[in-house]
Amino acid sequence: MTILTFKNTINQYLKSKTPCLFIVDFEKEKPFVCKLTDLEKENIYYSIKGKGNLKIATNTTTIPLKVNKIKKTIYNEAFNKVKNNIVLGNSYLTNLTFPTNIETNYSLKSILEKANADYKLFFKNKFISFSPECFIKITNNKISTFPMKGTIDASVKNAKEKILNDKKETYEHNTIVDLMRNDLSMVSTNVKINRFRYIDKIKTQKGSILQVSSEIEGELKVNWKNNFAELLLKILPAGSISGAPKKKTIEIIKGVENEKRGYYTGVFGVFDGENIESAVLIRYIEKQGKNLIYRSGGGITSKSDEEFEYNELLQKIYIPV
Amino acid sequence: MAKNQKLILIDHNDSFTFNVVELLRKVGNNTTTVVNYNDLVVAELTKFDKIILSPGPCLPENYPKTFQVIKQFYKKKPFLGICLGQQAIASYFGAELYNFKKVVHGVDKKIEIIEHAILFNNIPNKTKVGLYHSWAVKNVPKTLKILATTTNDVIMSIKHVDFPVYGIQFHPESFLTTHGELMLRNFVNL
Repeated sequence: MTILTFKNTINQYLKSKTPCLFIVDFEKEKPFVCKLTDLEKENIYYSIKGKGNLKIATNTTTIPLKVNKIKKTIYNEAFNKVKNNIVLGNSYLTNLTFPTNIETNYSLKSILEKANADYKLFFKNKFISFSPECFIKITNNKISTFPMKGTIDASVKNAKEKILNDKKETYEHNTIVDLMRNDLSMVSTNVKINRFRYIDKIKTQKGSILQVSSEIEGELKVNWKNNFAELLLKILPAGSISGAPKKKTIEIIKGVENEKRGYYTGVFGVFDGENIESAVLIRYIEKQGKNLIYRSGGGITSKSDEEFEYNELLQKIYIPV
Repeated sequence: MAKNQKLILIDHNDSFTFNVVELLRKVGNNTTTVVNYNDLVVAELTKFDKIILSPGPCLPENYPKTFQVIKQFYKKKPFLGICLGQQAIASYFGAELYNFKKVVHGVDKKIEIIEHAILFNNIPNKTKVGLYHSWAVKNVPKTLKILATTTNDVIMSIKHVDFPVYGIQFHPESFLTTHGELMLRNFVNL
């Protein structure tokens, strides 16, 4: 739907306390909102922390994926352009992503049902996302965000200390925290960091990983529901999947990624009649004709190494079970 | 205390501008208007008491209107230039910019205040700040004083010798900076 229709519809649903689900793409060109009661009609299924209309599979078998890796030369060319922009002061942090062709015998729906993640979305058999990353939550007129930056294989010796003491990870995390403080300060006041670099353990097909996040919170005006659409669009795209400074960094991303991201790295969220919970659309598989595309990426900073980042992009191609 | 200060914050398309706004909300005694660089009309700044130049990507030369603002108002109104803002002020008065081999983005570091101008009132000589820069200023002319540096002698703050025109290379609005709020309070209450 158009931005205008989206704004009017979602603001109307929030004002009338009508539970709904919304999706906004990275480019903010094709946002979507519908009532929770219309989801099946629209062929949309979701689950947020186990709640929603998506069935959850009980038998968790692993899902074999054949991954056709993107050529390293292609990745390196984009990586070097990004790095150059960082040295020139045009960006502090740029999230660089690429599509990877994958093959599997499972349907999008069955992959999603098996995938273990807090935030799961199936959209009209076009894409699925099984995301670990919360975007914003609004509860009792307080808005919180939980930027996630930094992962490490949990089996590494002293994994927790190692990632918390890693300078590159620390600086990148600092940048994202300042960026998200800024974004919340655009729409709320009394912005504070509640938790800094806390650790979650996530199970994957290949073993456990530790993920580092922070929690930032601000206070909204009591009538925030009247213009929620404006609030949401102001803070999109999410800082963790774009970078800083955002405007210039998005230009850089558009210059080096060869195609639009679409719903990948957009957000989806649910309004339950009172509060909002939303997620960043990462860990994302889309259908292009008969092909399946897994999209993944990572944050590039001045300290990033191309070999490491290329491997991280590939490591993120997994189904958590 | 001075009357409520009308501040204009020129936003060079940055993503930390609203951290400055939020900090100014905490400081109080000011009403801050944010103007995006693209919408900036230099002549309209006459109605403000003080001018803040935000950080931002790229180089000062990419923001010619900011140089016009400095030219037109530096004798009339206090300035605070942050990061790119300091670089703009320094360049305007004839200092040079140089690119770092070792970029510092999201780095916290102690700086040393060598001259306690009003901006640094009640702030210890050594204080922790947040850095996001790949360029810095050097060869500053005699019209500018150096107020603070890092241990590696990177210039961290400058001031015009005759006017309350301040530049800081670090980010007072970053959560990494210990005394950012106090610095902005000192500026608001100049």
